[in-house]
Amino acid sequence: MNVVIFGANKLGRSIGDWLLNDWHEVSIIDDDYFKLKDAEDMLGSVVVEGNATYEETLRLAGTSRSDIFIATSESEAENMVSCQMAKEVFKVNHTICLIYSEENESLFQLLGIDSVIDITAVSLRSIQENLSVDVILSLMDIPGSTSANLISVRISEGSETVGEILSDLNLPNGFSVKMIIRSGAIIEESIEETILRADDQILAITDSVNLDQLKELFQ
Amino acid sequence: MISKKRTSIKTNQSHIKVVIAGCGNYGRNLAITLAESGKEVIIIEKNREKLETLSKLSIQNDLIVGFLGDVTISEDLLEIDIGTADLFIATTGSDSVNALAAQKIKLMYGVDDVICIMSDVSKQKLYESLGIRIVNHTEIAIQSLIDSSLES
Repeated sequence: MNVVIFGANKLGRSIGDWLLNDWHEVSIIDDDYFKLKDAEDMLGSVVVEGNATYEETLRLAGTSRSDIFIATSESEAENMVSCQMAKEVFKVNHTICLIYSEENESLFQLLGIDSVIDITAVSLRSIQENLSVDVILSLMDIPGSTSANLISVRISEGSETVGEILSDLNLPNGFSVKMIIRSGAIIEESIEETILRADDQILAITDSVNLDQLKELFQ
Repeated sequence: MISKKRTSIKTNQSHIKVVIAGCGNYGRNLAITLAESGKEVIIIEKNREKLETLSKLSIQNDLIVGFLGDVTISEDLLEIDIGTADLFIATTGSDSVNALAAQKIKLMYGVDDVICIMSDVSKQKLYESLGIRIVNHTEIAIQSLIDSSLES
């Protein structure tokens, strides 16, 4: 695949490194000389100096024959413009835009940018997972659906569900358990008959389920 | 008159309301010209020093209100009641911020008439095709240079 990355910052360079290791073709655009120098030292001659919102720069980076365009710069506005140029002028199949707050998520989706990734939300989710303070965590939205989610439920020691058979619980409609993780092993077979223990982690797909209600059930 | 955040901005129904992003030379002079022709103008600017240049204006300027805020942030846009604007003009120094603000205000807040100042010519077609009026100051400068050199 042919990938153009806007932003020679740490993230852009890491994405470039990962793709090059998989033998994809990569170009990295930035207007900062020092960042480009770092990128060149790390990845070789893949860098293009210039403003990624300008047609000329995008052309020099080979955007017209690229399959994927990824904007990882610190400026949300420039990420937006470069993705729109890549999509509308250069007909790039998949555009990915990084944002730093949910403020502009729906706008960018409306503008036709294929993937809008909220860095803050991703980091927050990762921290929450690590701390496992919350009983219920939303792990990801199911792509293509507006209401479905992949969630994780952690059974705490004091939970009333400990010792109960999963199918005996009054689970809401639209809550479908896919697997249970117990002491590092995965239980996928006859999940419904599993007797829950403390520290079990349930992975489930939910569709239009009230998470607060679910929380109460597993408390 | 400079309005700080969280104060309500009175809107006078009888006037045409224009919101300008950016209180640099473009924004300020545009605001003066529009106010002189009786339009109600709100300038949104995130740099306090730039915004304060408004208070030094010599013209009678009841019609110009400065607002300290970020034109790409919904909270600030709601504060100036952006949905009631008849016209939005983005004049900040960044083409990209102008494009973001213009698209946001058109698509999310339903302001039909939006104008964007840009210096790069190559983006013009794209944004015009999306219903945003583009004023390209590079092009205008070049054209007027050509015109004046032909005259001499």
